[in-house]
Amino acid sequence: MAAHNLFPVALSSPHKNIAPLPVPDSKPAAGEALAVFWTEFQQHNEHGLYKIYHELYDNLYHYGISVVLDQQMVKEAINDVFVELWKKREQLIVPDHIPNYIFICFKRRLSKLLGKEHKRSAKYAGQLFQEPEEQSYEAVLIGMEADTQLRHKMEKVLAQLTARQKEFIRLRFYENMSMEEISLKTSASVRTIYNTLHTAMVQLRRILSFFSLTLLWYLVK
Amino acid sequence: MNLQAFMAEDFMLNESFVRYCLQSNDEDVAFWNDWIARNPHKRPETEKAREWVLRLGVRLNASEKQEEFSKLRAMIETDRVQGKRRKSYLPYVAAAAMFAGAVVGAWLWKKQPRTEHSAAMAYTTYHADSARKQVILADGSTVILNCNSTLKVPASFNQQERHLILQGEALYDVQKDDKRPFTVTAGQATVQVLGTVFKVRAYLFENNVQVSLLSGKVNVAADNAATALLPGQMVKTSRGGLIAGTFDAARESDWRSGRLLFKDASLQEIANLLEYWYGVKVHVAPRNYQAIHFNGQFMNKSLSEVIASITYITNLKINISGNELFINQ
Repeated sequence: MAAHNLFPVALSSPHKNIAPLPVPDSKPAAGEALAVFWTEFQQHNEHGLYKIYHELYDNLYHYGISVVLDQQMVKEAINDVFVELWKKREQLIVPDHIPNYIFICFKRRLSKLLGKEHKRSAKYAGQLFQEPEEQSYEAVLIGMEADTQLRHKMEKVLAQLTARQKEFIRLRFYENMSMEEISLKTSASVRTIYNTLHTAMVQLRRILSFFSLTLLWYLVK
Repeated sequence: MNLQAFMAEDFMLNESFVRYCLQSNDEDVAFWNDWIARNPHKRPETEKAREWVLRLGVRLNASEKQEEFSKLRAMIETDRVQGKRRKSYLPYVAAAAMFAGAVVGAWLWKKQPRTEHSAAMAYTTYHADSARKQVILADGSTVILNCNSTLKVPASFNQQERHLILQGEALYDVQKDDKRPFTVTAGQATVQVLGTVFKVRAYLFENNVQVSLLSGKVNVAADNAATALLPGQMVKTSRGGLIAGTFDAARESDWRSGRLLFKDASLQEIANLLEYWYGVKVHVAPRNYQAIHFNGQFMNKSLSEVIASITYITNLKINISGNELFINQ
């Protein structure tokens, strides 16, 4: 999924699974700023590292979740990567493309954590560790709900939405594209996108209030 | 657009509202925080919308993110403390003595100067980023290093001579010692000192070096000019030569005491003063601004604290990006 957003540069990954890591498009100078932060933390100023962390957190989290569907593991892996960068700050060079570099570190870290899990579970015993598969957006949305009941509801409401509605939702909220950008990409008019999304949101909201009601019902009980 | 009639789905489809949820734009965050505070009856709808924006975007909310960040910070702080212990066993020779002398201010708990080990040129580098730093040198001289400035002290400092390399701005209070001349190199200029208080300003975003003498005597040399300064005088470099000027003694003495004073300051004066004080390049977006009269006094405050006050009072928008500052309205 989402292969359209792949970086055209530098990554040259042999793995089909390297996910797109969109640099926040609202900041055109993000690359240069990151390089400045990188030098800062290499000069023992941890604030440089923190700035990179805030800059990339959402993107890393997205990719992580789509691979492991486990919030806890993803959060842990992101922090591990940054602690590791800090410890090795003196040996590091300035990478050509900082987001990609960190992204690859993150991917390795996830693989390692996943490997540990797999060793523990009998299901995977005797099986070599495989490249993590990325889940579809729908699977992520459903899988993210911890509560079984809510997961079913989510499944249900997504099943009610049309493919077009789901595509627009993914582009608008997950990929964080503006309505204009979606319009350019899908050649639907902004008006159509707006209306389609609006109908979808109303449907979602009905389910949400239903969620709250069931929750209340549980509490009262 | 009647925000009062908005339901959750309408908020979700408002791009500014989504930027508020993602906290990707300060203006939007400020606007919606303010709007929701003034319209508490809409809070259930905005909360619902925010929850859905984050859920559909598969994102952590601000407090979850903050929690993760605190964990990271704790781990890095721990590593710092351990790293410091490990390093103290290294044979530091001259740098160690100097370092010990410099471990005075509380800032040193946070920032560790770095010694580069190369045969001929070993330096201890002091860097002040968002807050100014005081460095006490091996000979007892003190240096106040302004924000965004770097001072390099060679390992051989105070042996035969006292030589420093500066980028940015610093005020020097030099101990008199006729046997060991005290010199500062900054960009194209070199200052030779004879027991004295003086200031050198050499930021990369300004294309000249300024030397101001508060008391005592200094010789200043550029590529093809040299001059001696008397107290109260200032020179700046220009195309390899030197141009004489004056400086504002009151402002300089405020700077020394850490007092930043805005007195009925206009937009341009605010910009100038911030640029002068914090060593950042300030850009003012061209626009028709309402007249601003800003008054305020700050004692040893960081740039971000000062900006917070200014933006709160004047409604200006100020963004920091690296060593640059952008003012908008």
